[in-house]
Amino acid sequence: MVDNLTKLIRRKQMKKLMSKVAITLAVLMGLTTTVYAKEKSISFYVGHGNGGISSAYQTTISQELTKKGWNVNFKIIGNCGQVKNLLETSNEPILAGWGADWNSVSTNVCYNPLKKAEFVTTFVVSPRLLCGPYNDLNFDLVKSNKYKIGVNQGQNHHVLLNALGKKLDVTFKVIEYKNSGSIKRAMQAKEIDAWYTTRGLVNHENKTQKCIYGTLDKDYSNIVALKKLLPTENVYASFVAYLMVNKNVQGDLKKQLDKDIISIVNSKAYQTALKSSGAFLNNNTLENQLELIESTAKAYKK
Amino acid sequence: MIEIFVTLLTATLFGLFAGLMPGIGSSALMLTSLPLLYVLPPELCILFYALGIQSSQFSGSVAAINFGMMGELTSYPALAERQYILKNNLQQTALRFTAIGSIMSCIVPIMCLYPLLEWFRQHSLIMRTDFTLLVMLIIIIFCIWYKTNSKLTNVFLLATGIVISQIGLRSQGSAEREFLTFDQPFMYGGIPMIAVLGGLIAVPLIMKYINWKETVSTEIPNVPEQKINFPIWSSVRGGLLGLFTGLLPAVGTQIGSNLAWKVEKFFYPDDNHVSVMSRLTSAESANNGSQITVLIPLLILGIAIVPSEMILLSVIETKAWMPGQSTWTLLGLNFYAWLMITLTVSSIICYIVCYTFIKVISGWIGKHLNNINKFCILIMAISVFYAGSLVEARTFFVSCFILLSFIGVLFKKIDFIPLVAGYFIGDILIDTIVILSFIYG
Repeated sequence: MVDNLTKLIRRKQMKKLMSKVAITLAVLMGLTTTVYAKEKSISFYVGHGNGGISSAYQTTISQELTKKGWNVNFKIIGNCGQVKNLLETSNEPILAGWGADWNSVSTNVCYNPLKKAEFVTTFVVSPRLLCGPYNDLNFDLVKSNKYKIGVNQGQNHHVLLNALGKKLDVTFKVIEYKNSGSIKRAMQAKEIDAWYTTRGLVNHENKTQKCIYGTLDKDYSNIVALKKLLPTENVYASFVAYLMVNKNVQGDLKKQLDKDIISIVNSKAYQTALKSSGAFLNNNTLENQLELIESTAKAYKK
Repeated sequence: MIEIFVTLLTATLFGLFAGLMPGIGSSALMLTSLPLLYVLPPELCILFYALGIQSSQFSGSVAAINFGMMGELTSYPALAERQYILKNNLQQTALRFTAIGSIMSCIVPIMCLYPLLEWFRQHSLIMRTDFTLLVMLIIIIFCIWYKTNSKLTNVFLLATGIVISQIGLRSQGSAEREFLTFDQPFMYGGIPMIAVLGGLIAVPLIMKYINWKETVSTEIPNVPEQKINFPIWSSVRGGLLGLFTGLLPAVGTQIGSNLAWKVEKFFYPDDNHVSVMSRLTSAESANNGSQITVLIPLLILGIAIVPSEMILLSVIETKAWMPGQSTWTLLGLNFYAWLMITLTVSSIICYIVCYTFIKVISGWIGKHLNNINKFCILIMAISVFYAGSLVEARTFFVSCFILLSFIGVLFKKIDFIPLVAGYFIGDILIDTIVILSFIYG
């Protein structure tokens, strides 16, 4: 009887002890997770609009970061002005994708000159190509002819195209469309004779469209590099987007983020995805990347 | 595969529910479904829209016949024929005929829709900016002559809508410039669509019907079905009329059923079983037919022509959807095949649910109408909050919603449809004018 009672008391004590241990462990685990999550937590804001190449790759990067253990609060804000404000005012660590063209003039609401300490990496470089209509592989510019060219609005492409027209002795009528999708539809509707956009490289390589000039470093697949023809800075008007952080990302957090993002953008899967959309990344040094961003920003000036 | 089932069932049930509720129009249905739409791929959002609207139109007519409720203007013919139907115990026949008419008028337009879209795509004229401007002008004309308000009020509302659509950051030269943001970064994204539609259209409509409960009669006599042949030609006539009226901006879906009903009155002017059923079937067929063709400008040009479709467009645009560029397939079937299958299944579900449970559901709705309406406003407010949190602008979104709801309720005698239309076409209209000035300038 006494034995049974002692056993019962011991069992109760054990139960109490076990539950204390379990609670302590749970609290410890919770704390560890919180600390770990806090260590690898970041808000990732996209200033580019939905549907574009930039937001698509930023979505990919955010998914890959999550796979690498980051707690990412990913949001496509679609408005560079608002993202700039969040970068400046928030007390949280923020990662954001930025377009080099936004830094062309200081009066731009989205003007946000790059600081080396805040730079992570470029994540997409997409050359702008002058391409003819679909399925016209004989497209070429004929001297003294007039061509309607579709371009993205608000990027001063008329400066380069007018200079190119003069050089080639053709007249370009530059028509600004809201986005590349609208330009594509205008081409289908035969509203324009050619386009000057970041689309077309894949079609050119698949031989469904012929591109003749581009913002390339050197001639590529029969596409002439514009810098060979023109001295103007506008020949660097590729689409260059990069990742940057705000002041709250420093020290180990920044190092870890840099390491993870660079491994993502250098991965074979990411590079293949870039290639499939006609974009690429140069394996440039940090300094070269910063130089590219700066020259691209200048290329969008009037 | 599971997502198709989820879309089919939720859209059908939400639609059925919305149709039975006076005050919950198509726009409110889409607004309260926003949290779900945000997680669905764009093609499924379009399916959700087509299924939800079709189900709501179906159950709306059932509610109009049986209880004299009129949720939307499309139910007017059903309401007009109600007395004769009730007097002659034709409810079951009416239910069966409207169901068959709905299915027929969904399948036939969808079968036309695919070749029609292909034809449009191959005719470059339709894709031209000039054509877009023509569509815009038609929308503007319809808005100015929109019957509820005076022409002057409509012009003012339309212009206000266009100005509101321009608030935010605009691309100008080599920079993004502010327009009416007063240097407030939270306004850079512009006035949120969900707040404009929810505040000016959905909330005032719900408020208008919030106390409808007292006039709702939930009694349905259990009557045997009358032996009348299905008026197939009336259904075809109505379906074809709906097909064309669906293309009319802002009002197409509303006038389709009313026009078909009036046209059918010409063929069947008498008040007998066959005439009443023919008129009703024609109106219902037109109603469903127009819900399909309303999708054509959206699928080809990315232009929404009715408010509920505008909500759909604003959601699918955030998912990188581009008109005419979808390559979405599931189990080897493309979007149009799924649209036809799901609309047919949805019509059958609607018929079964309305046939079996209409009395129970309507009785429950009749009892709790006030609370359900309040709940719907709450869901809408949550949707606004959620949409705001997606762009880190919760306070701004909620404030806009509250302010615009207040304006909507305060000026409840004004129909804000022209303002909403102006808000939605503002961007496209200005872009179109700029492009044409480049082309012809």
